[in-house]
Order: sequence, then structure tokens, then C-alpha cells
Amino acid sequence: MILIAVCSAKGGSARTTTCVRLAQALNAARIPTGIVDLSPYPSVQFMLAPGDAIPVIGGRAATTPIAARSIVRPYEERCSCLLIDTSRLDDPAILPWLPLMNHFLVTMKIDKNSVRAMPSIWDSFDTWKAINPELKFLGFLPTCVEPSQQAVVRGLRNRMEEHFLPVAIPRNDVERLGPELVTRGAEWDTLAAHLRQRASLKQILPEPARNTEKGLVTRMWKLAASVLGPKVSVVTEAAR
Amino acid sequence: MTPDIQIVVVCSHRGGAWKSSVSAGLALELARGGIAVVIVDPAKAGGLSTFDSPDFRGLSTDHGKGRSHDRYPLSVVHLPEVLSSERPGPELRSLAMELGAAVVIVDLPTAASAELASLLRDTHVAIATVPVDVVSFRALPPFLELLKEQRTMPGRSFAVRAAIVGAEEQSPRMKELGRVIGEHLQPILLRACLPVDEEYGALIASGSFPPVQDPGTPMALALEQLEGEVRSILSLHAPVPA
Repeated sequence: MILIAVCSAKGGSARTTTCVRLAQALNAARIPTGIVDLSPYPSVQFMLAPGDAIPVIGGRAATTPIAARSIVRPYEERCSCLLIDTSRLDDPAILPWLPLMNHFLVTMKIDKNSVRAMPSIWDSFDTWKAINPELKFLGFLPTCVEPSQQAVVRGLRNRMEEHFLPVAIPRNDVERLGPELVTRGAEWDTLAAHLRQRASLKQILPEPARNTEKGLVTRMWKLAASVLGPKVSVVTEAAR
Repeated sequence: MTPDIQIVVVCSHRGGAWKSSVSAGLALELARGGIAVVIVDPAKAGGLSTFDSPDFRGLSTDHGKGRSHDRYPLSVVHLPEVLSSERPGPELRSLAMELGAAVVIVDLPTAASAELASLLRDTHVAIATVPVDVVSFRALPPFLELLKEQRTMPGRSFAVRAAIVGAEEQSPRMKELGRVIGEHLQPILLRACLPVDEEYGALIASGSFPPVQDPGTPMALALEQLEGEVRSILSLHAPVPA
């Protein structure tokens, strides 16, 4: 199982949105993924859409790496990847998780204050490397990007290409409207495909079943039963 | 005689909830009124210390501990170690005494929930910034519970004000949020609505912070209202000019 931390130097950089959308995209790519929530005020659960089968694991209770490992152990069989929704970079709650982490990525809003906070990421990274020399930086992920900021993103990428992930996430309305009303953008699937290669994530979920004629008829009966009630369920059973 | 130094904590349950903007705007409003203020920025990233705002351009004089404003009695100090202190209140008061400030405003990072509880022992006013969005709304109850629990502990008597951050078109939702907050925690009153309009969004996107000093803008009016509230709770009076 691969553990990827999602961090940022400033608040409001779409860290939790990234965890949720990326987990959805990885699951869609047959890479079963869960989320470890290190926030003191958990919000991952409020960003999941109905029907998302993504395990959300509270990670703040761990005070030692052994405790952190025992928290994730039950998910080792079920998940190829866990995304860690971190809190602020110097939050002591991150420390027990550091030895377990394989990679980290950094979400970054495109404004002067976020860019100025970038050096603090490198300071924290030095501290983290001292604890876990194997930890790898996947790159900066520009988030909440307005159409007018695309040129700025291109400029940053031209200057520091090796430090940037290959997608930029446009500003979205998940927080404003709720996850059930907002469709996941294609950029998350591109990012999932990139991370699958970079972080060697394993696809262990089976391929989705094809729409055979029999399967389609069964699903239609189930849909009718859910809409019309138990009488149709009896008919469905009889039809079988 | 020990000066009566008062502590204001700006906190939130979500990132990007305008804690730094509210801290900076409130401090400037107080300082313009002649109240000496020090803003403490405990975030390791030091976002407030490097704040690029037109209002903060006067923060030029380095006095060893941080920077002070060249026109107003205002200082900003980057102090990450305050979060690991067992009793931050006395430390903050001695810092304020050293800088000659009457009010300390702490721009508390979101994750510092344990530190918030500790800090509230010595706090006079806690300002909770609450963005108007679905996810913040759903995640709000545990944060309100924490404030409520802290308020009912013996020896604590801080006031709580909520600064609800939203755009004009979100007014109905802001009212609904106000009602819910009122149900959870009676002492919270909604006094400041900091609108996020297109112009503000464009300023943020360009890396500049809104010109809160421009009189008459919704942001300036909201901050004036918040400053009036805080000043009244703390019974602060600007010094009479000699």
C-alpha cells in the first residue's frame, strides 16, 4: 500500500477537495484508495458524493508511528493507496505518519502570498527528509485556478517544470454547491493516471462488468423496483 | 501598575476562511483609532508576516521581534513557538508590554485546536471566521461545540463573535447560517459580513489584498463594525491627544 500526503503551505488551497476528487479518480481507475483525515475538524466526509465507497480514516489519534501503522493495517488488503489529508505543515499530528509516507504533493493557489509561502514547504521537507529519507516529492499542484491565471501557471511551469504536476485544477464549486451537485472534472483522471505511473500504484479492482443484455434487464427491473416499491420486487423475483 | 493587555484570537474550523484578512483588517482599524496593537502570527509559513497588502506596506521598521508600522501603532510578530507554550497568555502579554501594545491579536492556524483551547484561558474575545459554503456549514458543529465547551469552563469569560464570510448573492444562506450558529451557541452574534465580490476575487487573484482602507467599501464597513464590537467588548478608549 502506498501512502501519499496532500499538503499545502496555506489554508484554502483545496487540499481536502484534492484528496476527495483524486481518491474518486483513482477508484475509477481501479486503484482502491482511502483517505486519512488529519484535520482537527474533519470535513472529508462532507465532500464525498453519495455512493462513493471511499474509506475515510481518522488519523489524528495516532501519537506514534506504531499507532499510525495499526490504524491503517486493516486497509492494507483493501486499498492500494491512502491519501493523507494533512493539516498545517508544522502540525505535530503529521509526525507519527511521516515514517509511513511514500510520497507527498503540495496544492498551491496562484497568488503572491501562496507563492511567498513556498520556501516554508522546502524547510518542512528538509525536516521530513531527516525523519524519512525515502520520502519523495511528487510536485506542486496548482489549484483554484481562474481562467485568467492560466498564463501564470504556464510561466511557473516553464521555470520550474520538474517541480510541477502536469495538470492545473480550475476553481470549482464543490464547497459552494455540495459534492452531489458537481461532476468530477477530467483533470482529476489525468492526474490519477500520472500518479499511477509515478507512485507505482496497483490496479487491483476488477474491470467493471460489461453491459450484457441479461445484466441490463436485471438492472432495469431493480430500478423499477426501487421506484415503484415492493409489488414490483415480487414481480421481479417471479420473473426470474 | 500592570497595563491591562487584552487578547483577541481569530480562529476558524476551515482553511482559507480569511483569518489573516480579518486579523490584519481589525488590527489596522484599531491602530488607526489610536489603540496600540500587536498581531501575532504563529503559523510556521508566516503568511501574515509576508502579507502583501497595500495596508501593510507601512510595516517597514524591523524592531528585532518583528516589523512595526511607520504611521500607526501596529506591529506584526512571527512567533511559531507560542503554539508549543503551555501557558501562551502570559508570554503574549509580556511581548505586548515590550512593544507597548494594549491589544494582542492572534491569527491562529486552523489546525491548532489543542492550542486554541489553551489560548482561550487568557482570551477576551474569540472571533470565529466562517465561510458561507456547504462543506464549511456541514463541518461547523464540532468547532462550535469546542467554543461552547471552553466558554463554560470555570474562570473563562471570553466573548465570541462570528465573522461570516460570503458574497452578496449568498445573503439568504448567511442568514440561515446565522440561525444555525445561534441555535448551537447563543453568545455568538453575527456582526460582520465580509463580502467576496468579483472585484475582491480579482484582487486576490492578482496577489493583492483588498484595499480595506478605502472608506465606504463593504469590506471596510464590515471591519469597522467588527472593530466597534471588539472595542466595546474590551472597553477600549483611544488615548486623548495631548
